[in-house]
Amino acid sequence: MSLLELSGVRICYGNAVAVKALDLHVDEGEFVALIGHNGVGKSSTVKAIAGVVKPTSGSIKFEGNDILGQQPGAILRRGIAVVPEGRRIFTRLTVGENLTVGGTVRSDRVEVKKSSAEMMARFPVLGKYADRMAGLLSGGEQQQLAIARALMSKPRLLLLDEPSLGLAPQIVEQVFDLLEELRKQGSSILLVEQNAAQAIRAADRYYLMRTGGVIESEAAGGDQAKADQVESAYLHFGKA
Amino acid sequence: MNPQYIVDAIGTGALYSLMTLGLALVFSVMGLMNFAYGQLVMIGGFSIILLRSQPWWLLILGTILVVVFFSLLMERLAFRPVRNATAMTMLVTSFALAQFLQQLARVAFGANPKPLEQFSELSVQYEFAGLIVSRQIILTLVTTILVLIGLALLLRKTNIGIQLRASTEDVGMAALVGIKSNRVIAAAFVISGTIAAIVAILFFATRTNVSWSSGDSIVLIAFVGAVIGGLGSMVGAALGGFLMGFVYTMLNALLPMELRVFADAFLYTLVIMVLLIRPGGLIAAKGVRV
Amino acid sequence: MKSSVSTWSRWAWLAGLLAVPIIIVTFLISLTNDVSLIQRCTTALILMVMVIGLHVFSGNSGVVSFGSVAFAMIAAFTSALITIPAEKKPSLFPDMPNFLNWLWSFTVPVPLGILISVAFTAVIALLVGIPLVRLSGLAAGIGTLAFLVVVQVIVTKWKAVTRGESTMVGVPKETTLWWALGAVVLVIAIAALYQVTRRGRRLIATREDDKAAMSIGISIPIERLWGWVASCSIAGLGGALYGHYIATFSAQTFSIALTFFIIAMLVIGGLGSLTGAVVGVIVVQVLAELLRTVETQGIGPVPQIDAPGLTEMVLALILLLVLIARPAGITGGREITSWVRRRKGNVAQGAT
Repeated sequence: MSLLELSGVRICYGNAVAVKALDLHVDEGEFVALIGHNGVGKSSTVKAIAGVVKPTSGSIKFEGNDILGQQPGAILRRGIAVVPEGRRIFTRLTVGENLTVGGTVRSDRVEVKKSSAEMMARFPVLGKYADRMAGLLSGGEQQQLAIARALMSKPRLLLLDEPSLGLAPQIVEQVFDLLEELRKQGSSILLVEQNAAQAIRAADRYYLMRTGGVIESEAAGGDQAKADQVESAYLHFGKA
Repeated sequence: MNPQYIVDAIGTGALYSLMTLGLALVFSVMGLMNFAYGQLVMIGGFSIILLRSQPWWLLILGTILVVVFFSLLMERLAFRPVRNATAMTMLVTSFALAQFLQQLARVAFGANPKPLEQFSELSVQYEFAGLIVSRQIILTLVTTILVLIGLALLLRKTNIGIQLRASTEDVGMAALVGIKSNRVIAAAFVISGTIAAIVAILFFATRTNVSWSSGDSIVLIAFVGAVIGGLGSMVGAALGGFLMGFVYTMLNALLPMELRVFADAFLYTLVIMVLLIRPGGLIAAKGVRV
Repeated sequence: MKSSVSTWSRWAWLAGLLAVPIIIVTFLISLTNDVSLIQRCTTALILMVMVIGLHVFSGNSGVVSFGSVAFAMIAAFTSALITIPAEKKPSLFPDMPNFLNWLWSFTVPVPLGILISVAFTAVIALLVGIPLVRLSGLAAGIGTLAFLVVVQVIVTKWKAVTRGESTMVGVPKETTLWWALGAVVLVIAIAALYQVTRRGRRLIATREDDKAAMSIGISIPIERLWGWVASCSIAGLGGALYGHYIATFSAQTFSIALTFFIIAMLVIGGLGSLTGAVVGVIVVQVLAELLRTVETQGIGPVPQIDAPGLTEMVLALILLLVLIARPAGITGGREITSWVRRRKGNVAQGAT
């Protein structure tokens, strides 16, 4: 049984169809990338899994339970944490408060405090600026905070929407290093990215999406040649 | 200029800043300008009349409980159903609610103002360096400062306070980290109701009666104070409310006699000018929906 | 040419579908010879003028205005000052400042007085509008509310000219049911014309998507200013008619409560459509009349209930329930023409 399984998911906004029919699954401990250009429905897919938008039809199962149509809070409680596009950290809260808020769904406040300390040890920059307003952090630091905030809920699956967007190349490198490290520790990850080459290098498996549905799905697993091949094919699609 | 005016202006400013805070808090969480907020103060006034013969602590506690009860009730019954509607619909809903509560009070307590027995212990006056300061002003100042400190602690040190601030900034993201909006909004209404009750006590301490229309002028001041101070910013709201009270008292003291009756007109002309220069308010919070 | 034909036909449909039923009902009411019913109908029609006036700006631009009653007040007082018979003026305004003494020398007939006061209102609206239309959202709401307070304070306190808290008296009472009906038909025609033609469509575009509107070269302040001046002038027409209808009034007549009542009728009808403005007034006025009848004499099995404030309380409660049940208002912001068209479409489908 897959950890996350989407079948025949269709998402419409009024009369506009964002995703036609999407099948996708993520297994336990797997790092899956969903790549595709701007506007092919990647973000809508993330929003549907997170419970922000409701698909018109299809099913979304998490650990065998139907989660389609549930509220974002309920889905988070089941174990899917989201690092949304544009990070959306709470800029007027301190770094420490952002982490605390990330642990909202956990009942034991002492444990949350402990996790918060762990996060600050793991991401030294967050520990350093614990009492600073999060809006004052740099883009890369904010991305670390957004990921740390998501991890605070101890998710079974981490869902990332365009984490490399708007970051300098060496910072993007850091973000991917972090994701690989998380996978090694056994986290399940679904990464949605425009940055195809890097995502494919890092992921175990990838889905290539093109206006409304997946057109290709293959194992990637750090295969450099494969990544380059898809990247060029993918760029070709972009020009078409 | 007689420095005595400044003392009075500070007293009025402090009271107005409290009024504004209660309104601004709810706005910052759910984008609702609650026109029925003034009626909460009016309800507080009537509960003071009903509890007038009780010991002072019971009077305060009772008034707070009554007002908070009504505050929560209005959130649950009137505002929750229109939470996702446009700002205009929410505003008109709160207006209809204000009308309803006002007329309810008129039916229940009659059209004539109810006399309120004076709090003689508050009119005791002290003299400092030639300035006359009444106990009422001291009480208002001390209470305002305590409420501001209390609110700051609540918003910074408690989980619900941090969640409240997170919701203020980004409701959608707050939902994504599992913050329950019902709980946060209810908390905002509890705090707003508590502040309204405190305002009622301080406000009616200087009045000789309570009437069904007592809440009208209060909400107007709070409404305007919150917007010129800067929506979404608690500091801005407190400042905006304070300035409304301070400037109004000073205008009343300093304008030539024949223009003094127009003090309100001058005040609101200033308000328009502030808005034109800084449409986001004096302290504009980033990313606030207006 | 085709597009202009369809514009005219859209205008005729919208104005006609709204105005014709009102004309018929008003005519039927006039036949009853029931004095109090005719009075209520006249009041409702005058309020409808004001609500349509607010719709022209707020409905089309999406920007809140609390200021329309201020313009109704300005027009009512202006028209009163120029239509009160010259021989009465010295005793009514003993302290009239010298620079306004020329007001004593003449009297104009009421229709001309209304016209002049509407023109004067338009000028004030233009002057105030130039800075105010730059504001959006709540800042616009507060800005216009502040303007209302300023006008109210001036009218209340400038006793020499407005008679202050002692009410304006001696105003010719000439507004009839037919005047009110004529004004409603006129403003429906104007408001409908505005929103089917370029000028109004541009303002609606700024409401729907301000960035897109700007990107195709629409100037938001200029479009809003047009709507604002038209809106305030219509409010002025309503105010002047009201003044000549009740004949005794003061600044308290044009209160913040009246402002909200007008906004409430617009929102309950459905903000964004002319149909909503008309429907909102009708629904709220009919409800208010039913409740008032209960309070004074009872209807059928409902006994008379005598408690001051009860009517207003129940009315507020009903408004609240309507808003909760239909947050977008009764019409949901759509025009009556869209229903008719849809019905026609259904019929066509049924035929095939």
